[in-house]
Amino acid sequence: MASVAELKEKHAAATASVNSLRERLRQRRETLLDTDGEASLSSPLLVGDPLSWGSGNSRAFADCSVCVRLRGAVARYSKSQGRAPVSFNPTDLVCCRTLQGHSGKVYSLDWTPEKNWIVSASQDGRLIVWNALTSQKTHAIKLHCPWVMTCALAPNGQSVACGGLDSACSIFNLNSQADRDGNMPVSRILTGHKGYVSSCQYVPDQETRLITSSGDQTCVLWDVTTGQRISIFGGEFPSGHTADVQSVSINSSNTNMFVSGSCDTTVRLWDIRIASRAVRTYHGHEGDVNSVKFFPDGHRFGTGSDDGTCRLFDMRTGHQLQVYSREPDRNDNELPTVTSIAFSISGRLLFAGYSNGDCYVWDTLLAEVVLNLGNLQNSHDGRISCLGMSSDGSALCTGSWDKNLKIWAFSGTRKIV
Amino acid sequence: MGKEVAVVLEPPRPKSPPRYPDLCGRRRLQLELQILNREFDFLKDELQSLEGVPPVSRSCKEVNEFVGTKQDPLLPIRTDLAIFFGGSDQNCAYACHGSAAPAIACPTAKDLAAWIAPAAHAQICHAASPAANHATSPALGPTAVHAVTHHAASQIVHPVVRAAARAAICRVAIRTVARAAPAIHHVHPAARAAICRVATRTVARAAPAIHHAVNQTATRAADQTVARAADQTVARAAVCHAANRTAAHGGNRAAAASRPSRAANSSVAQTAALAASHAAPAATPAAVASNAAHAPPTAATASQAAAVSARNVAAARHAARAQAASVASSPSSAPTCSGAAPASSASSASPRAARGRRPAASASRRAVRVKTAAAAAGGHAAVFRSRLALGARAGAFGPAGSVQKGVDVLGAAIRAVPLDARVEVELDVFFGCYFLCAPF
Repeated sequence: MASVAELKEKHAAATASVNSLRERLRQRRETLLDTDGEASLSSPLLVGDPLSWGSGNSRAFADCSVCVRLRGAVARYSKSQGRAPVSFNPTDLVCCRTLQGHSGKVYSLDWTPEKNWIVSASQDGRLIVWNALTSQKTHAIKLHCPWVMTCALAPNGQSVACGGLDSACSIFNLNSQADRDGNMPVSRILTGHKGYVSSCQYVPDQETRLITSSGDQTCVLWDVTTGQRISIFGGEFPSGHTADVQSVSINSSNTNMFVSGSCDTTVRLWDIRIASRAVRTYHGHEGDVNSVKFFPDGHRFGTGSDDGTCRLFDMRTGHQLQVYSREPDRNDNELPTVTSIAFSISGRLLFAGYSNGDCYVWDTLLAEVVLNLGNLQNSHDGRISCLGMSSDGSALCTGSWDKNLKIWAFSGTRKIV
Repeated sequence: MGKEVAVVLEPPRPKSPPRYPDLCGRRRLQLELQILNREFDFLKDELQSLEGVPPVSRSCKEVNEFVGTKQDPLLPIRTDLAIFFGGSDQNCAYACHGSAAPAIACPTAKDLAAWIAPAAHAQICHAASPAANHATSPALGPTAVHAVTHHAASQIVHPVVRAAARAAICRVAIRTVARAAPAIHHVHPAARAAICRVATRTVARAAPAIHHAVNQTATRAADQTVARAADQTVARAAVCHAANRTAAHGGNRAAAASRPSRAANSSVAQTAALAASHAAPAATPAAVASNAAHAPPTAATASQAAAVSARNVAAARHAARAQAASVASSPSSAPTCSGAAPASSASSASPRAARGRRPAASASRRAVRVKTAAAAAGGHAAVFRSRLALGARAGAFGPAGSVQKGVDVLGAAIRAVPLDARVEVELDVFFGCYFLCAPF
């Protein structure tokens, strides 16, 4: 058995190897950064314990010129191509529906792919299913555990899933009859997580498969009909997250792939056929990653974080393509955190909800804020906790701690030349 | 008196997530060493995977290209048509109010048809709406609608689009008037003569435009697409105008009040029958008539609504017979349903229809309700097909406007909505489909 001294020697050697490899990786990525035709090397800034590199990578780059160029590849390229900015008039996007009915903070929402139904989950312990066109409530489901954090509608709109602090995911069939107390019976409870369920999403076009993320640092693929876990992504030794997982997003173009965002500041790409390890890990954020969403083309994804920024990553290459960061508050207040994000159907707009009630509309290509829904008439009075885009891209739904949901759509005028 | 007791719910306390065992000394070092070795392997794999990875610019280019390929209902629209055909800006290729057409990212106008339709439709809608409104004014002549829309088409920048749009409008005007003639056969002769004069003048104006259009490089598909787009708005305006003009020309005020409703009601009956034809499977006229009782609920609803709103059964029968006769010679099967259904529904509803009177305005609103009920029952299939035909993408929420207050529980319009509202677009489509199904 190796002595402690030998172990310490090996530990130091391993640390140096890892640092060296990270440096080579950084240099290699830098040579691929060619959006402005200049690729130069700068001295690396390695920080302390390599075990902290998961979150320290970006801090190491924070002040160097390379990092500045790394932050805006898409914007620089778009500007070099002469891309015109998106221009909104203050009344172009309006709140066309306010869905009132919850008596507690709204934590999560989801649209159906068809029917224009929305399900929302609230701190009042209820799920409400809305007809988004008429603002009517089609279902109000009282939950056994009021501490719900996430909800999702099945692709066929026949069932809803929700989860929260009970560490389980409950499935309700919307066609089932209420019991004598008027409560809808739960059709299935998916148990197995060892921590709270933070996010859930049905696999597109599959009513029987569901992916959840949890405070136990794992993601799980479930078979809803049997209630069994099909695969567990992460855990103790496989290359999983090392902190609570906050969000998942399944690639609608390739439903075998999904990404997860975690409090360990990383995003990880998973192949549901290979649960043993993550396909790729994406570094860059400096805080908890609260929200991840695939870009409409299925090859990129966006993220929102406690560091106040949104980022766009390339799924296949791992490149961080763009950072969407707001200016610091003049009053030096703490930068609002990003709670949720959504892309418009074309990908040109990135909607980001913030903890201070703002909802910025980013021009994805030019990395500029084109509108703030939080400043519009009839906007939310509190933190925006969740966002969702309708399947046809014609409306955005926002949920807030002010207990309401609002639907935003375009109502601008056109100039006909 | 009693005190209110606040009940504080204790949140459940789930089990804490598993942590690495709290080791110290040798075991801890071994564990850290394992983690470092694993991390080294992952980094090596990642470095290897970067070999052959394209540069960042490739990803940026793909993002830029993709963003321009999909219609986005939430993006502001710039309708400079000159940009459609060769413009470098890929952000502004949408040309239909409240909706979007895909942006062209290529210098050649390879999908000409799809871009012409929204552009022409935007121009036509923009001009036809006030024209349809002003057609009620007796100060304006019967050529108001067609003249204005013809003029609107002339404002389109691109010559190909302009010629095609003008030709389509003129053709629609001719068809509209000719089609309106049988439906208002009972109308005052003076009004009929006025409408025939419209047709004559319109044809005279149309000749050079049609000739010009034929010689242009616009494809046949583009021509038909524009015609369909023009049909919707102009046809509706013409029907409204015809109904209102008959009221203006009638000597007997009471009789005149009934005539526009007859004209409107015949349109209502036919449009309701169209709703039935959309819901019911395509069949021969005889089959439809015999199976009317077995038609889907939407067909029954449409037929009943038509029967209730039709105040003159004889006029409805006459229009339906004329329609059926013309449709019978048409090669397509779908219109045969619309031809037969009104006859069967009219005959079965004659006692009910003989009772009461309803103004033309409520008849129009009922047509809207019939249409939306049929569309809702049919899963909006007809609407989406029409949207696709337009090449325009409005989405369910289209122009937000005041849609929220204008719908009832079923999502059906319960009162007249502004001409530029989304429901109006669907109404145009509905009337446009009527004219499309019936032959010229």
